[in-house]
Amino acid sequence: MIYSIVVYGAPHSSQAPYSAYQFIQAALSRGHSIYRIFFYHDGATNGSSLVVSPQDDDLLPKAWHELKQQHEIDFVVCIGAGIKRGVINEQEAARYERTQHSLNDRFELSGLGQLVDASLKSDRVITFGAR
Amino acid sequence: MTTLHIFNQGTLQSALLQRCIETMSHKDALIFIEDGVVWATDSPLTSQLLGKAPQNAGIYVLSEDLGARGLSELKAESVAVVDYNGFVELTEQSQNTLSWF
Amino acid sequence: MSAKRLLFVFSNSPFGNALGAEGLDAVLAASVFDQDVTLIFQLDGIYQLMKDGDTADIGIKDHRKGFKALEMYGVDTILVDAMDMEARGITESQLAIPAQPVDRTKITETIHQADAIFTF
Repeated sequence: MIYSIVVYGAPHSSQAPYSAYQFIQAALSRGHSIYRIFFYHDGATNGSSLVVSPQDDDLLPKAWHELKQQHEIDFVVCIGAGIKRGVINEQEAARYERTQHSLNDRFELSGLGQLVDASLKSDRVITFGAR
Repeated sequence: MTTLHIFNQGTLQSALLQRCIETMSHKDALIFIEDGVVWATDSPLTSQLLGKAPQNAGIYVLSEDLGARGLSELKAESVAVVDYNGFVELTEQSQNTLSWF
Repeated sequence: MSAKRLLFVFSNSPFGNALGAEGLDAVLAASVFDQDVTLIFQLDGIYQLMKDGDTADIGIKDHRKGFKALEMYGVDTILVDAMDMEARGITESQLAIPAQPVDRTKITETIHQADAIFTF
């Protein structure tokens, strides 16, 4: 089956992204494919390259990195949620006249249409929620 | 199975779990993950609400989250334990999923 | 490809967290895809639909106006949990949009029929 995953929680703040990662690993090992991970709400922070994790607590950034290297999965940070939380790419930095940008290379910044598209192209959409 | 309900909140969100359970049909299933695993323990605080779930609806708890919190020995008998592999399997068997948080 | 049934469930009050505003944005995005879009307002999500209110004093943008635009975007299946409204002392005349009060059976049925469900 084709899965897409929606992540609402930020690393080090919510368990949601950690659960999402474990779920994805299990889904892949059962032969499923992951079409897209959509990072929404505070989950947008997963796409920041400026998050610094303590050495003994850096599972998640590494995990996303390896997942992206090994599998063809879209990592999409919602642009609306991202820019409000300081997760912006070079293009948005220029648009909003910011001197810095923070989006991790492995993620792309895109609109909510990508969430809707994921639900149309996937057999299952699983949300890992956080408030 | 029709809908797999995914519940990740602890006992502070009892109104939310109550609604989740009221919304379920006997063809649905419910899995407790993250802080939600406390609902799968056998205790005066948690067992009453769980008893209201529809007969035949499968109630599951994620073993990784239960174990991480040191609650494996407190697990209620009526709740089945699954690992992440089993969690994925439940999503295969259901037509859709609804996350409560 | 036949239209997919996308369900958006609102359970949170406005302004305390961003879920209401972000849920509205997601619904608006879905509305341009020509799919079958349904909204359910339940629990404290009912408060998203209050006709009155002004956020000037709390310094937060009032996203709730956007719910009024849904009809224009062709989103016309908007359900509210009738018991939750009653429990909160809210009547239909106090809502900003004409939402359809439904019982729990209808809500369960709507959940079962959805292809994908998003929670806010």
